[in-house]
Amino acid sequence: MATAVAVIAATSGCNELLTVSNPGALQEEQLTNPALEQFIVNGAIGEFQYAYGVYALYSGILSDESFTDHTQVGIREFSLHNFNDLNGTNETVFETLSRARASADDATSRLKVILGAGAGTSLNVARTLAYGGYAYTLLGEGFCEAPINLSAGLPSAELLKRAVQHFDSAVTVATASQSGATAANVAAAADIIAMARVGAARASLKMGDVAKARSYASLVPATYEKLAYYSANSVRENDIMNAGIRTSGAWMSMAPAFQGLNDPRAPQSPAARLGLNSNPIWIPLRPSQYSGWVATGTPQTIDITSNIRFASALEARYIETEVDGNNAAMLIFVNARRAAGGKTPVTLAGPALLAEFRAQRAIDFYLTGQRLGDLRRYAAAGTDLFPTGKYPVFPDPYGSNKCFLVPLSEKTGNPNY
Amino acid sequence: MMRDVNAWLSRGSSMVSGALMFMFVLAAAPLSAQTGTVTGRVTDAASGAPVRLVQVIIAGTALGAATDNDGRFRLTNVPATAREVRAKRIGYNPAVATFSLDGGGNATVALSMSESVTTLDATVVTGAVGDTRKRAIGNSVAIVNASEVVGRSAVANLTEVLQAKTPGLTLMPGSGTVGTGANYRLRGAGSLFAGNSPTIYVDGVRVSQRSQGSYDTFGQTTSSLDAINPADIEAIEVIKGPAAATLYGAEAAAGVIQIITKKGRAGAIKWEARAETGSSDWDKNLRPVNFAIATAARLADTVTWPGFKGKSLGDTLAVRAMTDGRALRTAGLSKFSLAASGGNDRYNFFVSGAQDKQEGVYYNNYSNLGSLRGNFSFVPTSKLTFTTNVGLSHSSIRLPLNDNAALGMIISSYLAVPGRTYAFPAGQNYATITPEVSNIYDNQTFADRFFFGSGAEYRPFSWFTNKWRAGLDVNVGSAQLYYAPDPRAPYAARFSLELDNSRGFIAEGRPINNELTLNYDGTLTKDMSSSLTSNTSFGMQYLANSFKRTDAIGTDLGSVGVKSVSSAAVTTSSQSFSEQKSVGFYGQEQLAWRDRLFATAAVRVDNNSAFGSELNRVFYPKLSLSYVVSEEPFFTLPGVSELRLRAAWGQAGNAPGPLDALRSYTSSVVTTAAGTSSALRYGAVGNPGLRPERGSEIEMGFEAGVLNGLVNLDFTYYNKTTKDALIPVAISPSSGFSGNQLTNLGTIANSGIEVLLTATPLQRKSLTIETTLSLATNSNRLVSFGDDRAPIVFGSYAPSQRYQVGFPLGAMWAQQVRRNADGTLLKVAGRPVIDTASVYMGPSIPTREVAFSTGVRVFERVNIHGLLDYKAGHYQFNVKDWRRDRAGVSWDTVNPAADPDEVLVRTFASQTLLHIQKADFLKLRDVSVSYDVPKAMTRGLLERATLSAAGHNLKIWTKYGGADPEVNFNGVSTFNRNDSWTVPMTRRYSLSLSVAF
Repeated sequence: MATAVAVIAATSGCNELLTVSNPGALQEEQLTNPALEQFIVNGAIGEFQYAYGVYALYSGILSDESFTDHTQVGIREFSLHNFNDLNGTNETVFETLSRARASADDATSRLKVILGAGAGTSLNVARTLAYGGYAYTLLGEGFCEAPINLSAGLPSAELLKRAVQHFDSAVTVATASQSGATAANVAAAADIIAMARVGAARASLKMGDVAKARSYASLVPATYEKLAYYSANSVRENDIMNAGIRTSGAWMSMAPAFQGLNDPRAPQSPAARLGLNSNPIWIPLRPSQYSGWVATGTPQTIDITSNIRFASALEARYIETEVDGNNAAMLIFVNARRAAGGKTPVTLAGPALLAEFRAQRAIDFYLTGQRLGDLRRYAAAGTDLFPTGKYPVFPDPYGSNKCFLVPLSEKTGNPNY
Repeated sequence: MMRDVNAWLSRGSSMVSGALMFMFVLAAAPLSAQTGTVTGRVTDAASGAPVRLVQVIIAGTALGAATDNDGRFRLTNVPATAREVRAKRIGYNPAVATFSLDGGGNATVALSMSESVTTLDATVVTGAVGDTRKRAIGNSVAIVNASEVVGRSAVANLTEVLQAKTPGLTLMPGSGTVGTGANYRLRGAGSLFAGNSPTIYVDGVRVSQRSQGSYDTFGQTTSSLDAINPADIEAIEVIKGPAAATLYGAEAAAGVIQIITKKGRAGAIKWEARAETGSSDWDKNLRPVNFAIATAARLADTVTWPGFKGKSLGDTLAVRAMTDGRALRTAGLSKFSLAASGGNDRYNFFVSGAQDKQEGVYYNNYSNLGSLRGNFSFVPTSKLTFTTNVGLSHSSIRLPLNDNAALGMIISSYLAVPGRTYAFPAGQNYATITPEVSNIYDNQTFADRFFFGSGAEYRPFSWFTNKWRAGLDVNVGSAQLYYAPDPRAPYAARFSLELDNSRGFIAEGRPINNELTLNYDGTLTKDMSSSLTSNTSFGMQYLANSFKRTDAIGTDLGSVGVKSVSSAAVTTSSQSFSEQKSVGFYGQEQLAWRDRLFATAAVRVDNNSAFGSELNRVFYPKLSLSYVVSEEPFFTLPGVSELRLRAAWGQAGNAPGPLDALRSYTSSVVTTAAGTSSALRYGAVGNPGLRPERGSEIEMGFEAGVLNGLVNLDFTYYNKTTKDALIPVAISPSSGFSGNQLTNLGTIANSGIEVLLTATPLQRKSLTIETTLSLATNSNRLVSFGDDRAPIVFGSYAPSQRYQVGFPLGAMWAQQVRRNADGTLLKVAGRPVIDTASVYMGPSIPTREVAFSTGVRVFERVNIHGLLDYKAGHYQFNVKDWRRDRAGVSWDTVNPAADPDEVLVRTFASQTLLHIQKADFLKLRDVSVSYDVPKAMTRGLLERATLSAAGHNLKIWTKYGGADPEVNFNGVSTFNRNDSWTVPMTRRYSLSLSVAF
């Protein structure tokens, strides 16, 4: 009888019985649908913006911009710059940046399939290349080494080199798209070109190719800026920097290196608050590269909708000035930036001028993810500004981590590790 | 998403309809016509007292009835050819009597039943087909007499009904917060990631174990199992592993629990009513005392340290947490139930209604449950029986903020330095939040549960039985979370959904869960010879689950009066959906030799929508042997009156989650300069080769009756291996995907023994003493990851637990400070240094469990019952004291005489060695006293009246450093265990009156 039932079952089929729906998901084969072009591009932008927010938050902690008073041991060890490849915070940064990188590269590949020959003049292809370039740049700046799509670990120089390649390609495609395009598209292409050039200048500077860096930077228009946008629509769209400083359970503090500057570009809370361990912390308020920043008056808090300027003419000018050396032009530049911070001019030269230039750069780009890459290259050049000694609110001393690590989760699943 | 599952079943018309049609054709047969009436009475063989609620059936038919309170029954429409009547009841040996209808078509029989603990002829319904008497089944089946437990104890929910009643079933309730769920585990953990909770059925219909859908409380969660009213349960059967659960297929490797609700009985309508009132509290001795020393700085700063006013240098302040009456209350409880049952030989019914109200010890914690149930049976002919079970319940639960939340009352009071005042919303003796602010937290969950099960049993011939069962379990929830806008700043009591809700917040979630069960069992019985009987069984089972949840969230409400998502300035929404279906077929051959030696072989074949596309079917075989050796003529063992030997080997599966096999992308959103747009996002990496975990188990044991049944022993040894264990292989994030890919890799082993010893050392009319001792051990080990990988380290507060080859799953591992060769503390720059090597502490789940209960009956009027529950062999992370040491409020760190190096170690955050502690405990789980009021005192108005007083969780004995090692900050979590900011099990006292009329 059992055999009979089995025979019936075998001859009756059960496709319909076991059919299930998954209305919230797309399958791989659906992603070559031309109707999804903008959807795919938005995905690359969204992943970058999320990853950039995460990087800006945690690279600040790994540098000298901020510290935490957190109860979670993993965050505590990360904040102490004393962590290993098991650390969850470190892993989060790698995951989000890798996803941003892969989303951009996959989007470029998918658009090439969808658009065919038109990909060479597609604004969207240029966009995904440019955002991908920034993902490579942050990986190169922040990580000691990083694999790309299951490769062996690539050194920072190689990652930055690939970033420049992406930016170059973005410029090429965006430039080609301008031929015969509408005025709006020409403007959009110009925006992408400028974004790519700031990125290429940044990546070149940090890989030590200063001439190339200056060349890219000099082509950036004087008023250019590019923002990562955030909103209250969902947690993923929030400016994650707010997570560390919000009124309910703040745990991130401005680090001593930036406290008491009395500079509107990097303002701090007027009084200390208590972190999660009830230690005093000074909340960073909205810095100058964040939307809604005010040069005068009461500084605003960083909220979940604060956009962050991640590429700008100001950065390009910094790069040009730095490459040109600590000369009179640098002094003029430095005093202009000091004036922006309400500070009186200085008359410095030589290493002191360079130090002040770096200090101004640190203030101008406070909490934007620039500082870690800067500290790494300064250290490589002999000036180590990473914090040392006792941690501000814990009795433990700072450790020796100076870059993000390839997490164990990558090493476990990557055959090239 | 359409899924191609074809392979072993080719395309075509519906398999179920085809199979069922075939079975109906087989079942078709003419019905009998000439009938008569059988009446009788069932009495206790020892005392001669009537035995009520005995199931009486006419052999070879579906005709049956239950005895009334006087032990009487009446069966009509009995076929003229019928000759035998059988009686069965839990706790008694079955009885048989023969009869012949007289010329008038009537017969009267008397049945005498003797109590039996081993109950070899008791029938079970879980995991068995064919001959379902215990004697015929080669695996152990535990049966909990739930109606008895509920009647004598102050149990609040299903978990407490089962607690310490069945060896091998480990229940970890987690919290004393009312309305929160527990973790269930049978015979250890057989899976890392596919779940270790047994599958639960109610009257043959699979039911949901999901949360009721409550919003995050940062630890505890609700359980839909708590929507089952314990007062409606007659018995609970527990089968514990693959050897017993093979016929449940790919979702039963963790065992099966079957809840059998009360049924009607023949006779006049009988009413039963019960009222209970009581209270619960948090023993103050289970809350710590915080200490602070008066220093010069504290004495000088009277603003920050007002508590030191009038103190002198060196004075000590000591404050026991939450003793000011602002945070905790003595919580009330009330329960009312009313049930009616009745019927005749053609139909019977049981209907009930109940209302349970329980307060938690926090002012914003309660759990209310209202339930209705109706169980109906209809016997249109002697060969056909219909049953229908309908249940309705409505629960409303409010949960406090605690567990892993920084703004819960426990962390706030446990870390407060005495004498210090903290800024709003904190205050003196409350470091993060005061009770007044905390109590605003408004997290409510409402759930409506509808249960429907209907079945038919048809016996066209005496040798052919068909059983159909269809059922639906529907849970519709409504989760609500609300914060009114509050202008005070900073206002910190707003900590939900990771959204900034300081301008008011409202969220409403609607979870809907459906469980569909379709079942068919057929059995052909044939006497091969005078000694050999064959039972050939076959059947199918179809299970479908769907879950859908929609959430609407609004922030910035503008005004205190606004409680509508649509009125919020910023609104968001989310939706989730999952679906899983499975179909399985089985065949079984059971041979019985002289009704004492039984051999069974079975196989089940399953397909499941959660399997990877490369997998089309899985087979689960089973073999078992049962031998009632004491019935052999040659058997002579002094003192042993009954002995059954049994052995079983079988396999069952543990299916992956509904969408684990599928690679997918999702739609997300991106914010741009122009606004919000939809965006592609990486979803799950999937695994097309995914298959269920395969549990194989061998169990052997015996049941023995000694000293004429005064002592009964049930012993089982089991050895269970899970292969193809689903292991989350970390996806290299550089691929773009992240998280884990479930892969069938690992091997897990569990073994242990289970002993159930029952004894009646004294049985007199004036005094009867009954004792039960149950013992269970479990040795759990991760045999292999299946590949060469490092241990998986996890922990909510510190890297305190691991999956590591050679050790128990989720075992506790500690970090220790380094010492010099002479044992002194190694310090660098005055600070301790953590040792890079972790220290294995032990399992996180008990490995030895003993329960001892005693029942004393005095003069047949007074019943006294007690239950001691011992769990041992495991470790718990005492997060509370770990954090109190770090905060410098424990006496170990405040004591001026303490060794400074010891204080340094205690306050060193990275060390956990001092705080991962042995968690052995002994609890006085239940004590009750009841008095059966003489009938004369009720002037004949009541058939029965019983007054009871009961206590629950009355006392704990433990060397654990914290108050209660049973606590877990996430009650339903399988492995993640921390004693953090969670309410321990509260004491409960109650008085009840139950009457029958």
